[in-house]
Amino acid sequence: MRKPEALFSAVLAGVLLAVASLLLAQDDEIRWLDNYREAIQEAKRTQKPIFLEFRCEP
Amino acid sequence: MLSPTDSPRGKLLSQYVCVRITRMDDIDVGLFDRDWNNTLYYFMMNADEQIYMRYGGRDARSPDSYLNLSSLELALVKGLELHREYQRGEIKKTDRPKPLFPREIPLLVERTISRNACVECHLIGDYLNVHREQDGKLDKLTHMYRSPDIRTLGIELDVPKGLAVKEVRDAVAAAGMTPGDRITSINGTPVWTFGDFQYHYDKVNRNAERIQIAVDRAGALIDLSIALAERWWWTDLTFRQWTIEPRVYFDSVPLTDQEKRDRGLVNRGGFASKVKRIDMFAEMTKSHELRVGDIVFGVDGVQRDEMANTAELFIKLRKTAGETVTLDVIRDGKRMQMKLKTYKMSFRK
Repeated sequence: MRKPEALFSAVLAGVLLAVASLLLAQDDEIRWLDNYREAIQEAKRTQKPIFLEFRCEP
Repeated sequence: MLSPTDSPRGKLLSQYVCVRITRMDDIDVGLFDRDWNNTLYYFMMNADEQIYMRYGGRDARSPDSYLNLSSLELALVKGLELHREYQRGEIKKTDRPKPLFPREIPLLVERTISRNACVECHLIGDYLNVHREQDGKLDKLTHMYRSPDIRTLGIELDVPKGLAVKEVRDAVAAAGMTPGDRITSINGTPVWTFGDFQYHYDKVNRNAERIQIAVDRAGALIDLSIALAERWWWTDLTFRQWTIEPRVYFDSVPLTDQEKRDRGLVNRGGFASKVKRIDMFAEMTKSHELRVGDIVFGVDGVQRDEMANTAELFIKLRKTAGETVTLDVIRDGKRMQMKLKTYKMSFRK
């Protein structure tokens, strides 16, 4: 493999790895709903308590 | 909040249905009543809309004085415990507070909702107060001086440990609270977090002379009766966006009784005070010509007040934002009068 191609492959592999890591990290995070009524329904269905966040976004 | 599901916090959160609300338009603000000058606030509750606890609250020092990931984890653990008790029927249902939706607040509809602007939390608090003022129902001690600072009572919390007490002074020290105590209730209402404690402390009648705080001391429950100091409700309003608060653009400190006597001023109950700082807005708006060191001993001919111990507190409590008042002032030993125009805070609505 010529030098520029090797560099390109290395960079591409790095980018793919970073994207994959990011996606995995997102999958691994908590799912936040953004609708109060939906949260109530979900809590009824799952019998879980609700953690409700009020956040002021500028 | 980044909380991977395999982290301690993530494991706790995954046992909850998590919901984030950034627009208040369709939220029952009667159910989720709180101090509306918090940009971040949490409730742990259930599908029957029974609230187990609150997490949040702030003071004048910072929006996150009492926010801490360790104390949040403690609260999440407690929330799960309370939920299990509720499911077993061990917690009695409480009556739902009277519903109130943002669309029922006329000024909010007129100035915000009808313009499709964001119903920001602080607007709810401010417009509720503006309506109270218009209806003659505004009690400034309760509605404007919201969330009295618990440090005025002498309580310094060990914030990562929730309601664990780190240091005590003044009223709570005199009542027997000690470092290491964990606050468990106020006036008989159980509290699990600083958010709970601050909310229920705010509900104390401003004329009250004592409050009851229970603490857990090494497993033993101890009831403490705490004498409230004069002006215990006073708290720094500088971070708040209140259009009901007359802005005076100066700070002053009360004169001692001896200093008042030396100047021939009203002693007991007199609010004569020495100017210690002039806000730059005073110069920009030409609202007054006070100087540092001036003594303000009267406002519109009044020199004493049962609640106020300084001239600026008297104006904030007894005058309406936008009013112009006449000050009685001593400058370099000479008495004089001058006008002071108060202002309404202006912010995006």
